[in-house]
Amino acid sequence: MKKYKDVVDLHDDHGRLVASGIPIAALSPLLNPAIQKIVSFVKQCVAVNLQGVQTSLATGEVGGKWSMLRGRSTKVDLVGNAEAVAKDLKETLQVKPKDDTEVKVLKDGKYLLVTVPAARLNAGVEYTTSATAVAAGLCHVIIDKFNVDMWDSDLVHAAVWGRYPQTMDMLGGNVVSLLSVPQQNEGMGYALRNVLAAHIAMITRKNSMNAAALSSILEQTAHWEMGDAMGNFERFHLLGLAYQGLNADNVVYDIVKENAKTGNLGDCVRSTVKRAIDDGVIKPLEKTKSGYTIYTTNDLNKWNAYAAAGLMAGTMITCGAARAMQHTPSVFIYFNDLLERETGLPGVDFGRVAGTGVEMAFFSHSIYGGGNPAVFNGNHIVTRHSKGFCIPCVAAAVALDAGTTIYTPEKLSGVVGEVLSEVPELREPLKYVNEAAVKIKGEV
Amino acid sequence: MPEYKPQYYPGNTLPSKNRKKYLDPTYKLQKLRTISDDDLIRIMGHRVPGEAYKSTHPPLEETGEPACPIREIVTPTPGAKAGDRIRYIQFTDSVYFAPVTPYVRAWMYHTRYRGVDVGVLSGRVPLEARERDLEKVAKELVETEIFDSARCGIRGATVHGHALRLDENGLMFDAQRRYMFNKKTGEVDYVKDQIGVPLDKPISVGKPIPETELRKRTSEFRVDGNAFRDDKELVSFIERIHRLRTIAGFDPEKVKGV
Amino acid sequence: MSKEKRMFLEALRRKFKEAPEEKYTKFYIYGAWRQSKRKREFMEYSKKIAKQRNIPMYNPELHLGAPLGQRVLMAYRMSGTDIYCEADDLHFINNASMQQMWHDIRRTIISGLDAAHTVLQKRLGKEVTPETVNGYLEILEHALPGGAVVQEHMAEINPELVKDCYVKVFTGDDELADEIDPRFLIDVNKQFPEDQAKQLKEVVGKKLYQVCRMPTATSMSCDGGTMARWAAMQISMSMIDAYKLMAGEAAVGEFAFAAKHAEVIEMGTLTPWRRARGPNEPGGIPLGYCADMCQASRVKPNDPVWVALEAISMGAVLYDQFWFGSYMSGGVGFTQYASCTYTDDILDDFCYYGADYVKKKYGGFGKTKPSWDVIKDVATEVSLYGLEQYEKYPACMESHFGGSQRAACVAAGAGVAVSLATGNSTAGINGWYLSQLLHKEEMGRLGFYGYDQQDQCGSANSFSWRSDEGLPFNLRGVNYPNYALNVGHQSAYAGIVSAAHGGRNDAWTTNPLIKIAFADKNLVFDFTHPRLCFGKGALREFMPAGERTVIIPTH
Repeated sequence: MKKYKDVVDLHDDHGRLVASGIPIAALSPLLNPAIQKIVSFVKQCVAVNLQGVQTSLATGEVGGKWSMLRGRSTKVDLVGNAEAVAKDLKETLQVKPKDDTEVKVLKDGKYLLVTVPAARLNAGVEYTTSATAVAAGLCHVIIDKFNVDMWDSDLVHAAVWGRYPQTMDMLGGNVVSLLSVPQQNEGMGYALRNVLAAHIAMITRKNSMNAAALSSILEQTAHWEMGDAMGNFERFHLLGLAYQGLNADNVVYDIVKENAKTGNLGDCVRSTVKRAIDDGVIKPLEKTKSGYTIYTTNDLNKWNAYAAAGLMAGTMITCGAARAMQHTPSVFIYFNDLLERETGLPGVDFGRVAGTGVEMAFFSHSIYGGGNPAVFNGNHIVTRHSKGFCIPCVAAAVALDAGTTIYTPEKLSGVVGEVLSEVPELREPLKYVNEAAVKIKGEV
Repeated sequence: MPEYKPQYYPGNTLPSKNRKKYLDPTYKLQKLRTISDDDLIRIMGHRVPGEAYKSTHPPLEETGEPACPIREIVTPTPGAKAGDRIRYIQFTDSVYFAPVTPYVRAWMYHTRYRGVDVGVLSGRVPLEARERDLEKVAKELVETEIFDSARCGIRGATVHGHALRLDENGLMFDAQRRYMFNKKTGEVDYVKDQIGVPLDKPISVGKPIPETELRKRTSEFRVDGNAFRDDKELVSFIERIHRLRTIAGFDPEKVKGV
Repeated sequence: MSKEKRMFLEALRRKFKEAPEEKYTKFYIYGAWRQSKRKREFMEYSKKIAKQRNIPMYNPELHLGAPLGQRVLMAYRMSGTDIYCEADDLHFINNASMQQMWHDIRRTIISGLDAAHTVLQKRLGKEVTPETVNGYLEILEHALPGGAVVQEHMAEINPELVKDCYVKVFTGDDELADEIDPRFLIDVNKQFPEDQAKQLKEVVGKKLYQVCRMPTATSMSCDGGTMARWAAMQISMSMIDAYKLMAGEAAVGEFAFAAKHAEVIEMGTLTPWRRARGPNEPGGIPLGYCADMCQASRVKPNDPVWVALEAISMGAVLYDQFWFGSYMSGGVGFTQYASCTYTDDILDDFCYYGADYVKKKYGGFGKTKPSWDVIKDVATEVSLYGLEQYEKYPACMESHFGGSQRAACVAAGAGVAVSLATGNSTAGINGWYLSQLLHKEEMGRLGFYGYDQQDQCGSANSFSWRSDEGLPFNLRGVNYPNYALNVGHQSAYAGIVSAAHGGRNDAWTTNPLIKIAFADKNLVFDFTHPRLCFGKGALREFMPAGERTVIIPTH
């Protein structure tokens, strides 16, 4: 990796200074241990709806909605025996005693949070290992522990795995990973982008700054995975992650605070421009006949990072004021339109955020598909077009919504969001990433 | 370095200067007519005047809010606080010298108003906001110089008409005939609400602005008015944005000091 | 009356009572839908159907507020012809020629014969000569449409239903071509002008390719993924018959592999999960393939603008009407996003203006390298011209009553012109994107809600070379990520590719095999003059294939 001169001040989610002068490489997914742990947890952690398994077995309703197998039923008290099930499952999954396998019982036995040992994932190349290992392990535990005989073993499979393998994914199953099956990814490197904004909002318990951080980490890491954050583009993504997702130099929080009571999106544009001028990121180039000043920059990547931070702040002000998520695409388009017409410089991601906003506005306000902002993600054909700069804002906006939609984040996320919010690094990523960056600052 | 002053919009011709004016929130939009609050509510058609606002969730004070540093500092609008539904008002602007164009609407809505969701299509501009916030904004949109009763329409559906020739009274086409020209008064009366439900009685939105006046107020470029090609500053501004985006897409490091 | 010459004025004068320059007209006096012959016809059918089935049907009086037709319902002129029709005639469900164009594309599979011959000769020691090839082809002409060749007691297909199914071959080797039965040959020398034939023969060389056309009836009942499989099955069976092999020996597995995978050229590749379709569906067909399927280039080689306009019409029907209008959505919304590019000679006017500008300023087509100055100059000038025509002629503005229609036509003119100037389609598309940004600023409006997603991303993604951004424009299609969502672009995109190569006198744009494969006079659709063929479909003068008359009651 190249050596970058940039250093930033790290701030927490409330805008308080954590550390100064941290090299941006300390925030890179390639080097920051907390980001690597977060990414690993995304692979390792799986949610199990034990109540769901029990109900499916008892009713014969397996393999998706309205799939009801008359005459098929077996009663096992999984919820009542959740601790025992958890213990057996842990033993089944463990590679070595006292390794990083964990099975936590939640909600009085209704859910399990399973952390599959990293050794299992490292023994192969797939990231679906956690889901398949847990599904397989749970089948073993149910059949062995509850003496389910051969004639009902197929029902156990369906209650756990859903309609797989007739479907490519676990349709109607009760083992859920944050990641989708590879066949559902749009292209190479898209796995980490295929996470609903709803999940992000629920995992971070609707803390908007942490929602932005977690989403930005996943989105931007994906851009390393797909090869986009390479060469001259690496710094583009590093600065974007730092400023937009991780509140570097407190730019996001400062602009929000400045406009918190009465400000609107246009005010956020002007705050962004002023901040960029004050920090020496942009400067006047020339004046036109009408007296308009065209601005220039010697560091377009840094300008992009500031603009992206301003975009995040603009989202928080607009959607925060309305306590509604639906405004997000409007912010994407018009923040950039106004910013470009204010400065003569390209907007965030050089037009790609504006374009993504146009598409998302269409698909969140019409008959053609899509839905409310919570259903979108970086893998969605509507919102994949910006390389990591839109979805973090969507996640932040979804977190700020007070309940204006019918398909709420709760409904969309279901078990996954609730269970994975028990993982501290996923719930409060900003804190852990900042701490890790401080730890390694001398080594990068 | 000279102190930063917001500039809103480039360009050296009348339409550009009008666009800049409309975008500048410190410029007070000139009031041209008065529509009563109740009449505006009737035209929008979301509630009957006097009826309580319907909500989509309980008031924020009742439910409390999740722990979030942004919620702690960002003040919700009155409509958000109360839990109002999000409703809309939608405008169509004729290509014949209407005061504002769809994108100009979007830009100025975001520079002037808080917590608004605006979309733009060639033939309609939906504005969605919490209902009581929307009503406040809508007043300015209909009473001021950015609305012309003949060349702008308030229409929720079947919006066809922005690009059609004008009728014999100079009105923009409306497939649902929500408004009619009142020959006696010389004013335009709304006879249906914005979704096309007949009103109990017509509501006047005033006389059309004469075209000579519209041509001074318009933010539209037209070859039979102020031609875009004559605003060399604005044309080269857009060419610049395109060029910088193109080069940045190839390699952002190649855009330096330009 | 304007004294200026514009290609679209004749159509406008026919569509409207008033002169094209007139700004005022009348509304609300036309009797709504009753002014349209087609809609009156629809109403008649609907009344009968509703009675018969006891479920109501088409009823324009149910339209929100007031039925459509409060304004003049315009006639449309098929550009480049003197055919006039109604908008309804251009909905692909109502137009048999549009349907046939799509079937002819979907049912085409190209596969190389050389690998199969190598299996026969090297693995099995069999002799392969032009005589044996002709023998094999005759058997395949029987087997491909559903005749049994090796097995007893088979259920076969009625030839009358599948009479559009056959195989042809082509090669770049004149000697070999002379020995192939002319009934089975696409003769490159006869089908193409000399210069194009030379280019094509040089690149194909001595290789021999077969082009299988599966029945339209198969295309109507099954999907694109069927085609390579159907072809492979019957190719393999015909090989067994022709070369007297065991009916299922190990070597036959190699024919199947060759025919289904190794040697096959599909028209379209797979699309991902969210819009999943198999091969040979519109989602997987690159723009350059569409441009190559268009055969106008061999009948009007000296008019690359004409050729581009014909390619545009094919792109409009294939991508905008079929793919976006139906596969991705459905119903009635999309016809007019597409038809604006091939009606009323409006786009034609813009493109010829651009071509003249390029000729005057740059000395002809393909004479200048791509550069920022050329893109800026040509795209800006043609865009301003197009915008000004809409403003000068209110009837033109009214004909393209939707912003997306105007956006597509103005930018198409710009993109085609840049392509003509530079011979580089990626430069051409960059010109399109500049046009869209200028248009948005000029009119202060552009297209429908999501129209310009790809146009905002497009500047940066024109010359990007990153993972899922970079790709030469010829190879992009509706599965290129930015392009996967929005109607009103791909039509013109096919023309931008076409123009780049037409201006350079290239015999093909992307795939020479596809160019030759569609130079086939037995195809049901006329790929040499698509717009004329669409017009015939609109007038109900086009006879498609796959009719089921022989197997259904008379009615």
